Amino acid sequence: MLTFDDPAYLALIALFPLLVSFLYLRKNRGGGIPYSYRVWNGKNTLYTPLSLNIAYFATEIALWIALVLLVVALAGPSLASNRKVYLERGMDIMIVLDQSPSMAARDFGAEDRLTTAREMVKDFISTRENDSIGLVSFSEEAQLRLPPTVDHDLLFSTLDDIAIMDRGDGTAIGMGLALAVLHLSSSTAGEKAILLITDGDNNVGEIQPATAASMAAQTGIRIYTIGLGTTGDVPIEFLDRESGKILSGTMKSVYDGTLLKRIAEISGGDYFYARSSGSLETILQTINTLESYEVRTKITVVKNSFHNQLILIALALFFAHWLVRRVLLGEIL
Amino acid sequence: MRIMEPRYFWILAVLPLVWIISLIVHRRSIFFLKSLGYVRGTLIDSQYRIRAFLRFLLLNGILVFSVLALVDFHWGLEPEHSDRKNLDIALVFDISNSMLAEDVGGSRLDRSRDAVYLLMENLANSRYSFTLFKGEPLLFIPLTEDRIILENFLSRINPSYLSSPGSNLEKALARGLETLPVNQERNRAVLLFTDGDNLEGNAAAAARKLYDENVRLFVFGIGTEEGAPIRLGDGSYLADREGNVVLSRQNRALLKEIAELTGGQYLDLSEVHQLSGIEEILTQSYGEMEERGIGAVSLSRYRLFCGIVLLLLVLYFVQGRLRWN
Repeated sequence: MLTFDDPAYLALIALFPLLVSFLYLRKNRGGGIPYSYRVWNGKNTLYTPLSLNIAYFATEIALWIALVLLVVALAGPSLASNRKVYLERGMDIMIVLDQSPSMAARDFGAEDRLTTAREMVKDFISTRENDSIGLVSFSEEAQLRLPPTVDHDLLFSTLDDIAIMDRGDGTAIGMGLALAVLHLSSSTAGEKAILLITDGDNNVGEIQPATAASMAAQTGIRIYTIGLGTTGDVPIEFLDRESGKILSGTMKSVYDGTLLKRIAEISGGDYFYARSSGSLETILQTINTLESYEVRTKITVVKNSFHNQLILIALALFFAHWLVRRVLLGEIL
Repeated sequence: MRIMEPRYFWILAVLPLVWIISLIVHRRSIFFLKSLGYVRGTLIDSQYRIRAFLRFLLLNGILVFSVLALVDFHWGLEPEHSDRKNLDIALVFDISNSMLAEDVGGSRLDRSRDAVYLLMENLANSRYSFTLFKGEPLLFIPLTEDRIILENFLSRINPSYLSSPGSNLEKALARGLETLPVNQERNRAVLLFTDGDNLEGNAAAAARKLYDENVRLFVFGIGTEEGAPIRLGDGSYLADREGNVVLSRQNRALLKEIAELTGGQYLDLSEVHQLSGIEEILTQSYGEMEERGIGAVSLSRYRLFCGIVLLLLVLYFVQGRLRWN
């Protein structure tokens, strides 16, 4: 949208007719030098070819355009766009994502559990623009992928980097949770939550999930646990980054939600069980609603002024005028 | 007074060319007039000379004042309403090898590290991002309040994190700016730690972008203008091909200039007692603004010069139409 800082300057254009009348309509106008020439065979010895007239007219127009541009530049033109600004700091959320081999089981439609979870989490993140969101992934070990940040583009690409088994084989839920709690501890956000997405039971790690959950409870962090997976035989296939081979087979999937339920209870969060990608989506929407708060925003106007471009064009037009008239056409007066 | 777009001064380089062309045109005109019989000393001749001189002045004036309008002079301040609270800080660290020079009682890198530790301890409710740079910048930690990862990372920073040669200030500042979100009601600052040695890129252009985004740049220079040798891992000093020890010197003038362009400040961290100065500077810069809800923006004065150009252009128009008598 085009706006002017000081549109009053545009009124200068109203003076242009005055200038026009002074330059072109005044009785005593003109800066010519009289000199004698004779009419020869009924023709002037001085005649102006059409091309000369065109050049003269064009350079005259160029100077007028330069004048108009300068007046517009004086008015402070800028292109304005609206920007939404959040007035308050949002909450802090840590996503704790399981990357153990069983997450490669393909019982969520055509995709495996990890890919499905990843896509759903992205949808979840994109609705929470004002919140700092971090990422911890775990299998045998837990790793902080990203501290809580509002840089969600980076979060998306970090999510994409998570691959099955690049942290060993195992499910260290306790370690993952503890790491998430640790990195939320210095945050001054009013509300903090952890989203735990896993398909298995804790089987490695020095910190028990219950311990991690009570640590969370003490620091006022709610843990939402989401259990994934079906029961029975499911096909499994993934690329092992270390050997570069695609491993595939069938896995006997068992699901036990007791631990996840307990973690949620201890920390004052909620427990959910997702059997399909549809149910996972619903669950994340539910959590989104549970953790909603009043978001206060305002719209600010961001201005991109472009008076410099106009001055540059005006300057270029003026010099074009000067070069054509003085140098090319040899105007001397 | 600040000059926001100094690069436009280069346009003035065409002035000699304009003078030469003017001279040629003038000679040609005189020759033409003479062939018409207006010899030296006649009324027309002297009038012509006056007019030609006037036109020459107008021509130069239009060029010079256009440039003055383009470079965008700022002086004076204008109050601006501000509800912004708390700080988002982009830490931009120079990790070129010269940062290992041990001329400040320990290495320059250690000195910057200590400064940031102190800052984080004392400045509440701030978020930080970490960008390291040499020839290319790289974001290591996105904007976060997570002290644990920040302090952990800070202790591990060293020149081997990046391999691109050089230290490109322009790219580094642009990357730092990118890490600060635009959609939050918070003040934003870029803190640059550098020894200002062999800087590349157009730092002034990057600083201008910061200014446009209302982000202030604070530069913390470490190292001395006299220079210091750079110690390598094996205890020897970095030398050039002839075996002379390379000295790393600080380009203080440039660092100062870009900081002040954005309304920020330059601080010399070479002195130990300046370590706590960073927090002081930041509180000074933003504290009052937060308390009173009023900030200050510098005023652009391009209009003054633009108006003069307009006037000169009209005069140029008019002078060609005045009667000769």
